[in-house]
Amino acid sequence: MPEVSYSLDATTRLATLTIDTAGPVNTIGAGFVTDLGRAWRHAERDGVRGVFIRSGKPRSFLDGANLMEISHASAEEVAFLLERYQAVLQEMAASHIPVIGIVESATALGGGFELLLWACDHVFATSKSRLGLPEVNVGLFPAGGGTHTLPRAIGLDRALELMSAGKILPAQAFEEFGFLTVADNDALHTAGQWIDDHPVSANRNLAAPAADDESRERMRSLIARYRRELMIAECRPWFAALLDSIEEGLDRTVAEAARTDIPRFVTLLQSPNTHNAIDFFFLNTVFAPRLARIEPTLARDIDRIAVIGGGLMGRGIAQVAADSGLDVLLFDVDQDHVDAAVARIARDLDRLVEKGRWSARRRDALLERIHPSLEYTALDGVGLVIEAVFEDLDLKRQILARVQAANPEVLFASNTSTIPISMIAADADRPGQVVGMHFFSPVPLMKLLEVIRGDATSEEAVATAVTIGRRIGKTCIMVNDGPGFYTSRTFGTYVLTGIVLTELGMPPVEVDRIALEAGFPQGPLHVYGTAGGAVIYHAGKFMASQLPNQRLPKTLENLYNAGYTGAGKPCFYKDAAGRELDESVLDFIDHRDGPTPTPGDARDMLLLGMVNEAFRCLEEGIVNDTATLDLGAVLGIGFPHCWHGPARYAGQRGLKACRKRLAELHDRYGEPQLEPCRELDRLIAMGVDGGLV
Amino acid sequence: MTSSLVLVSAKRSPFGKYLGSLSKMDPADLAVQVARAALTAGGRDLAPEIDQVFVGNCIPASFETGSVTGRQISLKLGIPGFATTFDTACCSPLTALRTAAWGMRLGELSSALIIGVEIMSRAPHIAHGLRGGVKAGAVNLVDPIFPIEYRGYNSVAADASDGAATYGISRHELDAWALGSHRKWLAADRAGRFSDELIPINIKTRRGEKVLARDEFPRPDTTLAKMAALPTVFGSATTTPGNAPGLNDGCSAAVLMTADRATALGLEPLAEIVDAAPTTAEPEGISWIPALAIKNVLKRTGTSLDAIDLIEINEAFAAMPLVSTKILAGKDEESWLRLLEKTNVNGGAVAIGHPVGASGLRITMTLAYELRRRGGGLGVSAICGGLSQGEAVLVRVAGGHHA
Repeated sequence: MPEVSYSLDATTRLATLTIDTAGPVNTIGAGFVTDLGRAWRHAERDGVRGVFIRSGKPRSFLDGANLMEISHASAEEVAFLLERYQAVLQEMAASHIPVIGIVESATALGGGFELLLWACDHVFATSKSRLGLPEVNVGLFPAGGGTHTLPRAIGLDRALELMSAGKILPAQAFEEFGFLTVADNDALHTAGQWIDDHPVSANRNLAAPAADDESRERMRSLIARYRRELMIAECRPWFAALLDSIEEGLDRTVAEAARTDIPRFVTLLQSPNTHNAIDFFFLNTVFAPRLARIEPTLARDIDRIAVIGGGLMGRGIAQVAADSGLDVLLFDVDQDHVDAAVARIARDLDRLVEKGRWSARRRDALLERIHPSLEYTALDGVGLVIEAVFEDLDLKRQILARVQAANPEVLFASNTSTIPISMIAADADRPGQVVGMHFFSPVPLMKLLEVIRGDATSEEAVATAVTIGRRIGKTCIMVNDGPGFYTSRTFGTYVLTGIVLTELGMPPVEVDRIALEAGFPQGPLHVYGTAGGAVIYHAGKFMASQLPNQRLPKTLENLYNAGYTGAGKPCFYKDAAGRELDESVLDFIDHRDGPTPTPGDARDMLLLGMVNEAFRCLEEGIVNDTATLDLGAVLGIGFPHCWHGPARYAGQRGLKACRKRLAELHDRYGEPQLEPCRELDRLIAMGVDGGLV
Repeated sequence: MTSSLVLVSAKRSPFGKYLGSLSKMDPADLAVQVARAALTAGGRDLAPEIDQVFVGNCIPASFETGSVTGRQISLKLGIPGFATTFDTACCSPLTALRTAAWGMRLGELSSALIIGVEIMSRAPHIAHGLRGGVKAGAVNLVDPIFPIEYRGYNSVAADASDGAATYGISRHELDAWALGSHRKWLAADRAGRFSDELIPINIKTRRGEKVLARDEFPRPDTTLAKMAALPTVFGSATTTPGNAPGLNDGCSAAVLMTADRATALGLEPLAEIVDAAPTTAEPEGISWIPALAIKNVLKRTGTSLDAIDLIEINEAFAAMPLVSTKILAGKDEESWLRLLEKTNVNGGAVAIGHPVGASGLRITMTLAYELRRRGGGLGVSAICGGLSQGEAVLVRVAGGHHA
């Protein structure tokens, strides 16, 4: 069966090209390009009045390159594929036949969006459709003309914003630019009318260079600004490729500019970090559901949950749960707090609606499903309670006792980030019904959910937690119980190592810069302020009291006592973006003797410190497999995805080399967290130096 | 004391994967190719010098004619001496070696050809009761190698997994050992460390002759994560296709002589067989029997474990080397890790494959070659066999600090 099939309506003389490639979503591979060209030439031969391009699949219009195919193809094959794809798009763009893309409640991503931008004269999309150029998320850049067509379509500012973040937006977000019309009713008919009104293909200026004498300098300085921000980490070569592509294309036509992208794309595809990013994509999309294996029949059938605590986490959990169609009882200490929490959710959603990211209908339906609650008697008929109160063991135990007294059948999930589930459940009447559901902040954006199995946790509780987690759109990892579980423990190592580096005499700004250069999204001291110093202090103190290899740096204590805890209060930076250091913070740093780490040492202390802690979790059975290590670290705690995660990173450096380096850093700086863990010794003794994931 | 015993040559075929390159060969033909290579390795034809032939093989039914398989092979080789076939499951070729050594110590013979051969891909299904005729109903065809088990006992996969549990070896550790096996094999293969022992096998196919020159089973690009995702098999708690070998095809052969005979023939010994010892344990003890066999042979020879430079423990499952080294190490984890580091240094059966009747001799020759490469030393190889019998061989290669 061809991946693009051709049909002609003999009456209207309008042809339809229907995309339906092998696999769950439509992707671009060699077969697709061949069939697209063939179908297009068929339309030309038939002398049609216009061409519609549609999808034969329900949710995918065309979602970019077939990553499996291109990551295994030779350089020549990839170059040839791109050349042919660009040639077909250019043929369609240059033809006098009007070409209309019709996206019906589906995604048009990467090469799929590029087809709409380059080859189509106009796009009709339903409001549930989503479009974007997310190539950087898989270590690539748009090489199907997107870096040249998108700036022409929506302006360079917006195009850079979207492409550099790999953002995917609903169709409405593009409507103001004119090339796309949101049509929820009978898009095909509307498109037919459009062709009647536009019998000859529209000129969308693709043949002219993007820049003229007037705009060139402004564009170049804009690109330069992005360069300063994005190219700090050499380990993400795709950003350089993206910006080079745009800049070198400024004075060329789309077709000419896109041609120069081919060698750039092929080179990028040789990079091991691009392969890491592509592999991580598959880890997250294909492999993840098989990692957190549950028995689905054990999961409770739940349509109503309760969230206790209307703080940042509780609100986020209530919001995503209600958005997925669950009824949510939102509890807080008194009416004022509950009302304030609901109002806050509404306000956050209003902003999304204003920006055109959300429909008002979606917001209203969501808010209708959130029920402010105070009395625990309301827990009758609730299947699952998610507790999101302060990180305080006694408080959590009290709430658990009250919940189980009000409804003995209910499953109780704690959104604790550090306290072992078995400690919370220790005195519970029904400890089997207690499980950990560790969400990450901000809940609506962070994809990870760490489900924690306590010593007594039942299979039913675990299966339900994972099922609900998936229902609300989270990627679940399943871990065993222990202080800080997997992610908080390993994240703590990152932040605390940052603090330790300042104690060893490294300027805070340099600490964070080194972290950014290593690929982390935020430096550890910047994170201290944004995640909240009080939370980090309490978590760090608790974990240091429980784990032999963790130590609470004195500086953290000083900062906490002085009220330097961020979130409105002072911290390392004066601004939220972490650009301007607050010099007064230096007074609280507990300087200690010893050599000041070199940048190379500091980088390895941050990266290998996390690797070491991750492997310690493997050793202690907190995590049972290396894929979970990588998935959790990247999705939950910002381990650079260009390394795929701590397990892949350690394997690529070689376990022996990592162990040696850790021992060296441990000798030099004496930090207990850097002492090479036993798991590394074991794996090395077993002949494992790489190939972990 | 009689003259000491030496291996004067040892060769093996590349091991084939299940239903792979070697799968259609008659085991006798494969054995002949490998034995000829072993007999001529010293640059002269040793066939006329062989007093007796000792063959290990567990599945005689995979031969065209499934009895006196040793004699079938020796006739093709033109060796007139008596040929005996042994079936002690995976112990078979080392039982063959040990029996030959017996004979030499008794003075009954002074040279022997030892062969271990198995083509598991050819193991036929079994239909009992057809002689009486089938009155009604289906005919049940038993697969003797899937799973490998003995009536009245658990499958060997479950025994291995239970053994691992008894000794606190986790699924993760089994998988890690298995991954290490593949990676060590790859490093050894790249460094050409199998060139001493491997001979290319000529295979007649319908489309002409082809050659197998490299082990066919290893999957060095596998990862710990992929292994962790595999389901367990045969009712075991931790055994998976990833931490067990396959059902494989292959052959090993060696020439054993008294040192006097070798000297008289002007042959350079590859290694001295210091001693070989049989050991048994409770039927489910297959994962720890290699440790008991090693202890036995060390005790018989008054050798301390510390004196051992290299160890080979057949990876019938990843549990065997892990459980057995853990027992040998005692309670101290550091000593366990040091033992693991010198065990199966070029990979084991999980990577290379485990043609059940051929592996015992493979690990013994690979041990000897690796000791020679390292300038000599002392090594021990051990294997478990079905229903918990074990063989261990103590090998010394001259030139090292122990020589």
